[in-house]
This record gives sequence, C-alpha cells and structure tokens, in this order.
Amino acid sequence: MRREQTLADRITSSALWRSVVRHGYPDTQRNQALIIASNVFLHLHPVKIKRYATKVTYTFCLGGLSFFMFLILTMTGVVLMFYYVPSTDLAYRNMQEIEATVTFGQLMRNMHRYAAHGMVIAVFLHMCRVFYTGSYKPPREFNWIVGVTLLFLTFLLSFTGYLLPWDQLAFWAITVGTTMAESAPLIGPRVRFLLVGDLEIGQSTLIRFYTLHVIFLPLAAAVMMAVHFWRIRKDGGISGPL
Amino acid sequence: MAEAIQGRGTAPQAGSISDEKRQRLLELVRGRTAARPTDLAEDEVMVWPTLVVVEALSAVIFTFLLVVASIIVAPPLVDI
Repeated sequence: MRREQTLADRITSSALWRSVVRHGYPDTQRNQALIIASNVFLHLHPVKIKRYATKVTYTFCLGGLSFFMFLILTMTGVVLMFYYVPSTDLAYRNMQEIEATVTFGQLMRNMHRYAAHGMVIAVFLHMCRVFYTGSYKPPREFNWIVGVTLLFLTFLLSFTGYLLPWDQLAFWAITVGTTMAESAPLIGPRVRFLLVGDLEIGQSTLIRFYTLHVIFLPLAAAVMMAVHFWRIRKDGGISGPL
Repeated sequence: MAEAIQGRGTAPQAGSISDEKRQRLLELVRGRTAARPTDLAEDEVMVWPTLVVVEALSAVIFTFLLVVASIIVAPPLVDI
C-alpha cells in the first residue's frame, strides 16, 4: 500500500532542498558525519571528538565566545557605520543621534561597546586557560604565537575604537596612550607621530584610527583567526587534559 | 575489493549486502570517497549533535546576557 506523501516528504524530495541540504535526517552516524563535513561553517569541526572535549569546564567555550563576539562586533559595527562620519565636527553629534534618533541605535551602540570589552576579557581568559592546561606545548607552539598576535590585534582594535565617539573619555584616553607610546626609547616620538598623524590629536588621528579600526585590523584579525583555527585542526584538535 | 570485483557480474539479493559493503561498492561505482561513519572509540562522541549543541547554547546564553546588559546599563558618552 502506497504511503501518501506528506508535505515534509514533498519538501525534502524537491530538487531545491536536495541542492541545498546534502544529508538526511541526522539519526545515523553517517548523516551526522555528513552534516559536519558538508557544511562550510560546521566543517571547522572534526566529525568526532574526545568525550572530555565536550566538557564545558575544560575550555569554558572561551575561544568560541571570543570568535562569536568578533562576529557580533562586525555586525553591530556595520550598522553603526551607516550613521557615523569620522569627522571631528560630526563624530560626537553622530553618536548622540545614534543614541537618540536611530531605531535600536542605542542598543547597537551598547552591544558593540560591551562586546568589545567582553572580547578583550574573553581573549585574555582564553589565553590563561591555554596556558594553565599546557596547550601551548609541542606541537602547538606556533599556534600559541598566532594566539598572542590575535591578543595584540584585539587590544589594538579596542584602542582604535575607543577614540571614535570623540568624547572626553575618548580624547583623553588616546592622549594618555599616545603619550605613553612617545616615551618608548629611540622610536617613541616617531611611533607617536605615526599614530597621531600630526603634532596634536585631531582630524588626522580620527581618520587613521577609523581606517585601522574598520578595515585593516579586522582583516588582519580575520586572517589570523583562519590560521589559528586551521592550526588547531592540524595540531590534533583540542588539547587533552594534563 | 576482490570480493566486490568478483561479485560485480551477479546482482545481489535485496537486503543481503551489509551497510559496510554497500558503502564500498558505492565508492567503486562513483569513483569517489563517500562519507563513511567509523566506529566510535569508547572515549569519542560525534560532534553533531554533542558539541554543536553546547556551542549553540553558549552562544544563545551569551547573546541574551549581552542584550540584557546593553538595555539596562548605558555606557558613558561624556560631552566634548
């Protein structure tokens, strides 16, 4: 007796579905493996892992949360870019308009700010976890270097982004930061000039920090993250407990 | 492999081929490697759904906390 096709059967047997979804319902190991292997995002993971790697208290998902926060920052950052102009005359007014006038503008700005702080904290804690579990030891030494580079990129992203509201906090924080850079021996004044773009903090500084913050540093971080994730897989996946 | 080649001339009876053998025959016919589930060791689990669920839950919980914090607490914006 022929079973009548349900709506779900018709959908899952259509050409469109079979073109997009290359696996069956994941109730067999084969389909569970195919989901991971055939998905461009999920194939970051191996098909199977050690049981201890799923324990939350082993890694606290810190690396994953750092990456997730980077994605949130990218999305909220793009929304903010629609309304922000990196001009000393307009920047602060734009910030006030984002908060007061733009629909969900205040939420986007707040999420961006707290995700930025959160990412710095998560990356730092992730580094501590990697250190205290000995996950920097061979064959993972190079990945540790890549991770430290990512830490510095995160700090730089936070530093450059801090100036963009062009308020009192921003101006004086960057004044302190660049003055500290100036105190470095030999190259200090040149480094400060490179950062500030002028003798005093002003329009040149704002446009430089904006360009670094929205283009160069995120691209550099994305490339280093790709290397970081690739090396995790090549070095044998998540490290084992000591 | 030899068994597969020897058995090519005769059609197998329905339901008589094991899953493993069917996968190998598919590889031979299609000329490419099909995804093949391997036996899990005692200390291994499939990433789907075990790890993916943990990651998804972490992401949802974190996003919820971030949105709540963003609504409740406003970061400073001090007049220039």
